[in-house]
Amino acid sequence: MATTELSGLVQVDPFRWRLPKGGRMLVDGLVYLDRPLIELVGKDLSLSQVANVAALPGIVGHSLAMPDVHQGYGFPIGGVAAFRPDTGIVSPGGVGYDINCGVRLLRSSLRREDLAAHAGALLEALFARIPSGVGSQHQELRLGPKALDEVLRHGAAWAVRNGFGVPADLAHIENGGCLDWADPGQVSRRALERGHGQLGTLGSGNHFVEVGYVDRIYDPEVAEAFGLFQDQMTVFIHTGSRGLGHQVCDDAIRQLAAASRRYGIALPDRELCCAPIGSPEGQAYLAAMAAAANFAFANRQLITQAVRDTVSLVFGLGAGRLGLDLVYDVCHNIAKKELHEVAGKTLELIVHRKGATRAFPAGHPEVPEAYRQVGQPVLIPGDMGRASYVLVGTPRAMSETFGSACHGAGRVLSRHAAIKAARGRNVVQELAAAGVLVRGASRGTVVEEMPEAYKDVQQVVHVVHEAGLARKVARLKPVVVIKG
Amino acid sequence: MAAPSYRLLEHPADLGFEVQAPSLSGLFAAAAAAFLDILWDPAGIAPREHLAIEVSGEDLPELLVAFLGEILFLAEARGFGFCRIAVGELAGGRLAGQAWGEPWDPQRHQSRTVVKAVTYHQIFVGQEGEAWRARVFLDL
Repeated sequence: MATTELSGLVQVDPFRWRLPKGGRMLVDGLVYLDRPLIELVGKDLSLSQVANVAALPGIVGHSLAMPDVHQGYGFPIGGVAAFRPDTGIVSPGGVGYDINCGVRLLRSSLRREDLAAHAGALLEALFARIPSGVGSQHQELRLGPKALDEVLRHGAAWAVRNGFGVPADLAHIENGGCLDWADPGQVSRRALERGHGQLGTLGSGNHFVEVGYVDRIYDPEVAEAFGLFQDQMTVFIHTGSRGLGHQVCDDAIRQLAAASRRYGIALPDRELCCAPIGSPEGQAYLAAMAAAANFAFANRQLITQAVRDTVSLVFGLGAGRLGLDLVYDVCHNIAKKELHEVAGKTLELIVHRKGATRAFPAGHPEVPEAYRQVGQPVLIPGDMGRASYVLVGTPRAMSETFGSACHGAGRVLSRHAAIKAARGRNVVQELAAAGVLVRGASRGTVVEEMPEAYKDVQQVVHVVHEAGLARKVARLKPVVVIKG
Repeated sequence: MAAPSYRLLEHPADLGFEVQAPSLSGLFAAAAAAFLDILWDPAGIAPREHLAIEVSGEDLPELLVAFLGEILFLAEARGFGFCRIAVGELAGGRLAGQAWGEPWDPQRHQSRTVVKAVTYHQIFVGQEGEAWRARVFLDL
């Protein structure tokens, strides 16, 4: 057994490291990394955060960290933890401020060469059509209180009912695009006020719409089941619950800090404030978080329809000819009620995924019928210069990580370091020379999000694949990217 | 208007800052000035309107998070950019102040950093010797 010099990590195999129980930890930590990635983890507080999560009441199995792990708030980004319904807790720190930030992938009937012929026009048209950046509001959509209540209750289904998408979309979204335990009554007036004008907007930072193509197929059988083929044009959409979700989390942290004191829960970090799952405070947070998650599902659905309309206009083809169908939509920041086996018994746990992707295997009833023979699509965006990946869930993820895998590459450069590294350079031109057209709401965003600011997603995906949590299916390359 | 004095704390995924001042109300004012300077270019925003700020907290870290969080909320919910924050009353876990600015205009105003939330991550608010110090991390 090798032990690294990093906080006593014990090597289990080339891709698994155990953080043995110590101090107030109730369970071991389990971290999925290889040697090159482990050096990066040692530079921040990730492992302390894995240990802190392991000290929360009612935790089951391990406090887990995916290979894209990096320092977060409370939980590490890339952290996964599940809690028993009777003795466990729910924590907004295990979900994060951007509730149900997630990603969806559209396939198409178009090919790489079709995209190349229209790339410039598509870039400008998407940028003009999809509101992004600071203070962006949807120009045509003004939701009254009743409509907003329905968005929070029904999520993507509200969007489809109102002409944004087709019923088939709903079957290809995690949880059908709606967490049915949402209660809009638990969402504060402040959260409604902050977010109501932002439905259908991309936001800023790492959010994006990326049109690209299937560059490589690793698993032809699964790729076919997902409707993916070599050189096919694809679209990734990455955004979340916008200001509404940020405010729900902000409100909850304050409320649950007080609840933690009331219930006598000793907190290793204030961002891990929590309440027992069955408590009024715990239930109120779960209901508000679900409402914000539904807002995010609806948001991605609206942007999907904007993408379909824009592609149709630019290519001069009707929807039937485009084939812009939804492959899948996954949540990256969420707490979910899920059935998992614990010591031979099936329990409904609260699984927190903070920068991680659900990765359910073949045969699982929550995998869409179209994919049930192969498993759930696991969508892993990389950076705007290199690649993104599609993987498929496995039984091993189910038994080890509550059916979870990584969610992206993870940053290596701070935003200011990226700005410094870009001084005297034209990042947009560099990307264009490499075949990627980018429009950002501001030059700053493009620079802060430049490829070298991120780890190479290939390294992260390699660990997930080799550890058996999800299997590689396809690699996608970007061509047209709009950034918030 | 002199640029506010603060120290940025960087990390790949986070952005934090530290400020110090001779008094507690000065510390909150310095934190607000630093926060505005991180969010956008305050010099480009005119003090045409003002909004009241009233927040409370169980302790100083909660009060500071609530105070900066209120600035963020007002900016986003009311569509404002602010150039100046004045801290008025600060006692008994309550803070009252004013924020001066104008409606955000993307044609004239320059955004610098988009902040999702003010966090408790490694937060510190306290007295060290003669000076009051604060450290805050922002979720981007």
